[in-house]
Amino acid sequence: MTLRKLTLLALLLVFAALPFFDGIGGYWLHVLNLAWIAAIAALGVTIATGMTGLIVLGQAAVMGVGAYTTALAMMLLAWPWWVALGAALLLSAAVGVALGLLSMRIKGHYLAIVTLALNEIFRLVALNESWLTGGPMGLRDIPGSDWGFPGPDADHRLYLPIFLLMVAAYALALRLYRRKPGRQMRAVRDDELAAESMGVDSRAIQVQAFVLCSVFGALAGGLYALMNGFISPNNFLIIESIKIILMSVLGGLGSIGGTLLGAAAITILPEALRDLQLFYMAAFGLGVVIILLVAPRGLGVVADWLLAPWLPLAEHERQPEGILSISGARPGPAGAGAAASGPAAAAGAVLRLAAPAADAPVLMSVRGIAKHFGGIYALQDVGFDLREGEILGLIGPNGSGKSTFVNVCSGVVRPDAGRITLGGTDITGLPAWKIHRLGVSRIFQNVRLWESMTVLENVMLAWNGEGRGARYEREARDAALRALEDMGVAFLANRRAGDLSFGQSRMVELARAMVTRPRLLLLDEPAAGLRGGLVMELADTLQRLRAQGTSILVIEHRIKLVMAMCDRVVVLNLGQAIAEGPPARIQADPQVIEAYLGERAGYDFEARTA
Amino acid sequence: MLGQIIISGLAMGAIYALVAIGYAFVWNTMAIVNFAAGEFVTFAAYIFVATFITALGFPFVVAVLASAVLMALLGAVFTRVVFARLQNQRPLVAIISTVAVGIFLKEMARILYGPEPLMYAGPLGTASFTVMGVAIEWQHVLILGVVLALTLLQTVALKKTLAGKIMRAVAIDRDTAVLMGIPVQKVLAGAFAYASVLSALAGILLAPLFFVTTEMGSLVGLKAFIAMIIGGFGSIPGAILGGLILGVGENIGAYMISATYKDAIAFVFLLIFLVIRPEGILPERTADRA
Repeated sequence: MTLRKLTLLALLLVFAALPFFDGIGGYWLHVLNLAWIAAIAALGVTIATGMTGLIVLGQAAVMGVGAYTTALAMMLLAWPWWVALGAALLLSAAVGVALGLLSMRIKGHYLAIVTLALNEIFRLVALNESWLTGGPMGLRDIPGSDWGFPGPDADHRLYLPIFLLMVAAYALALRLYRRKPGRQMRAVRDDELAAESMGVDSRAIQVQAFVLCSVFGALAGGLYALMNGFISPNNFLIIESIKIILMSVLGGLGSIGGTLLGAAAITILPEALRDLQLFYMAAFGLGVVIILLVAPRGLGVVADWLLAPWLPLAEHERQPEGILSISGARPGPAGAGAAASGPAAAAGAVLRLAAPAADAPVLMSVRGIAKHFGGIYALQDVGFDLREGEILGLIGPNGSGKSTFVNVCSGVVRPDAGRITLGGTDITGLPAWKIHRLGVSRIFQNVRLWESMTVLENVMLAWNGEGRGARYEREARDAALRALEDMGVAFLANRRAGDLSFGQSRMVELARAMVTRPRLLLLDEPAAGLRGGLVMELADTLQRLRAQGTSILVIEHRIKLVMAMCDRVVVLNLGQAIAEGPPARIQADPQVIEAYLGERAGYDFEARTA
Repeated sequence: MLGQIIISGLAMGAIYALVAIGYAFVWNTMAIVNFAAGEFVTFAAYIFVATFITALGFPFVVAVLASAVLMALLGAVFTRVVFARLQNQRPLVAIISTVAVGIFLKEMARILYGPEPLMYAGPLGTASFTVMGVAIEWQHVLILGVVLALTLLQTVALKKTLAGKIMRAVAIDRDTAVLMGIPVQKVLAGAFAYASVLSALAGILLAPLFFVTTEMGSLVGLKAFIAMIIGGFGSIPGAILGGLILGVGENIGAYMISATYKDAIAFVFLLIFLVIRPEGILPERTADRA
C-alpha cells in the first residue's frame, strides 16, 4: 500500500516537473497537454456513463460549449480568462441539469442517440452561425491566459495548471466514487429500482451525474481554447465524443484510474504511431471490440492497482470456508459459520414474543387499494391494518396480487385508488425513496443486490443516517457491519455482491433492509430458493427482528413457515382480500381452501350434470 | 415545387426505411441496436461502385446481386464473431462495440478505396419525366419501387414461408425457439445478413444521388435509427412509416425553414417525438425491451 502510494507520488512529481526539462520538446508537451485535457473530459464521462450508467455520446459538444463560451467571453466581452472560464463552467452546469432532466424520460439507446444528435446540432450551429462562432474558420487568436507560470509558449505556461487541474479532477472523481454519492450512482446503474427502494433519489443522482459530466467537459474545452488559441467546429465532432467515451471504455468503464490511462493511450498512441496513420483508426475500432469482448475491465486492472490505492476493492479469491460456509455445518469461531445460523443458532432458540394485542396501535393502515394493468385488476379494494410489533402474513395463489401489493406499499407501483397510511402519515403514491426514509424497508422476490458493489457497500448505501464526509462514512460502515453481523454474514463484507450464492445474497439483502432499523419490513417470499434448514431459521430471524422493534409484512407460500412465524394472515385471491385472521383459522377457512385447491370435485360434477 | 420536394423526400425516406427495417430485424432477434448500420451502407456503396462496377465492369444487375451477396456474408460473419456475443452484455457495451465496428468498417473503406470521393451516375443518370407539372427523377422512382417491392416480398415471406415463420418465432420467444430445435444462432446470422443486404441496397440506391464518401452512410444510419424511434421501436411497419415521414418532413422543413439546418431537423423531430410519443407511431407490443 505505502509502496504504491510512493510510486504514485513519484509519477506525479515526474510529470509535474516535465516542462522544466529542456530535453522535452514543445511538441510532446503539447501532446501531453492534450492527453490531460482529454482525461478531464473522459473522467466526466466515466462519472455519468461508467458510474451512473447514463450513456453520453456527446461529450465533445459539451467541450465545445466550454471552449466557445470561454473564447467568446474573452474576445467579445473582454472578460479576464478566469471569469470567462467560470462562466463556461456555470453554463455547462445548466446544460447538465437540462440533460439530467431529459434523462428521466429517456434511457438507454434513446439517450445515446439523443446525446449524439445534440452533438451534431452543436456542430451545425457552430458551423453556420458565423457571425458569432466564426463558422468553419473557427475562432482565431484567442487571448492568452496568465496562470503565473513562466514559459516560452502557451504549452509550457499552461502545462502545470492543466496537469494540476487534471489531478484535482481525478482526486474529485476518486473521492466521489468511494463515498456516498458514488455508491448511489453505482447503485442506480446496477439496479435503479432497488436503489430507489433503498432510499436513493435516482432523479437527483442522475442530474448530479450529468452536471459533473458537463462541468468536467466544459473545463476541458475551456482549457483547450486557452492552450491552443484556436478552435473550430472540427475539434468537437461526433468522432471526438466517441473517442472520449472510448477512453472510458478502454479504462474498464467505471474505473477512474483506467480512464486516465485510456485518455493517455488514445491521445498519445496516434502521435507515436504517425507512420501507421492510415491503419490507426481501423486498428483502433477493432481493438475496442476485442477489449470489450475479451477483457472488459481493460486498463482498469492495472490502473486501480497503481493509481487508486484507496478504492474499496472486492476480494476475488474464494472464501476460505468454501462451499461448507453456507451449509451451516461449521459454527466458526468468528461467527462466520453459516448464512443464517451464526448468532441465531448460537443463542439457541429465540423466544417467541407474544403477538400484539388486538388493541395495539395500528402502524400501517390500508384502505381500498386498487391497481390495474391494462384491463386486468391486480388489486381490487384491498384493505387491512397492520399493528405495531406484528408479523403479518400475506398469502394467496399465484397471480393473486401479492407482489403488486408489496410494490404499492414500497412506492414502486402507484395505486389507482385507495389510501395507505403509515403511523398516520399518508404514504400513498410517494416515491419509493421517500417511503424508505419514513421507515419502510423491503426485500425483493428474486434478490436484487447491486452486483458490482461489495457487500459492505450494498448495506452502507441503504443506511439513512444524517451528516456527510468522513464521519458519515465511518458511521455508515459501523451500522452496515452491525447489520451484517446480525444476519451472520459479516464475513462476506468485502466480497463482490454478484459473487455470492443465492442464500448468502438473501441474507445480505435482509441486512440491507434492516440496516436502517425500519418500522416496517416488507418481505416478498424471503424463503424462496432457500434450502430447507435455512427456511426454518428464517422464522427465528423474523422473531429477532420483531424484538428489535420492526413490524413485518411477509409474503410466503409455505404454509408450515406461515404457521411458524405469523401472528395473523391476510389471504388475497384474484386481487381481493378474501380472509383475515390467525393462521390456524385461516388454514381451516373453506374459502381459502377453495382459492388454493379449487372447488370440491363432487360439487363440480353435480353442477355440470345438473 | 412542393410536389418535387415531397417526391425527393419520399425517395430519401424510403432509403431511411430500408436501413430502419434492418434495425428492426436486428433488434427483434438479437435485442441490440446496430450503430454500425450506416457504415454498412457506406461499405456497400464502395464495394458496388469501386469494385463491381468500375474495377470488374459488371453489368448493373449483376453488380447489385454480387454486392448483396458479399454484404450478406459480411453480416453473417460479423454476427458470428461480434454481435452474437454482445447479446448478454449491458446495452452500453453493445452500443459502444457496434460503434467501434462502424469505425472499423469506415476506416477499411478508406484503406481499401482511398480518401477521394467517387462519382457514380447510375444507369438512370439524372433523367426525369414530368407529371402534372412535377418533374420526377427516374432514380427516385427506382428507389420507391425497390422499397415497395421489397416490403411486399418481405411481408409475404414472413407470413408464408417456413424461414419467415422461424424468424418470427425467434423474435417472439428465443428460449422456446431453442427448445423447439430451431438453430437460433443461424437464424440470428440470417437476420443480420438480411439487415446487411438492406443496408447494401440503401448504399447502392444512394450512390447516384450523392458522392460515395466514407462519411456518406453515417448520417443515413443515424437518421434511420431516428426513423425507427418515430415509427415505433422494433416495429417493421413503423420503420417504413417513420422513414417516409422523416424523409418528407426533413425536405419540407429544409424548404420552409432553413436549408443549412436540414440535418438538424431530423434531430428536432426526434426530440419532439421522445417528449410527446416516446413509444412511436406504431408501437411494437414488446417495445419495452428498449
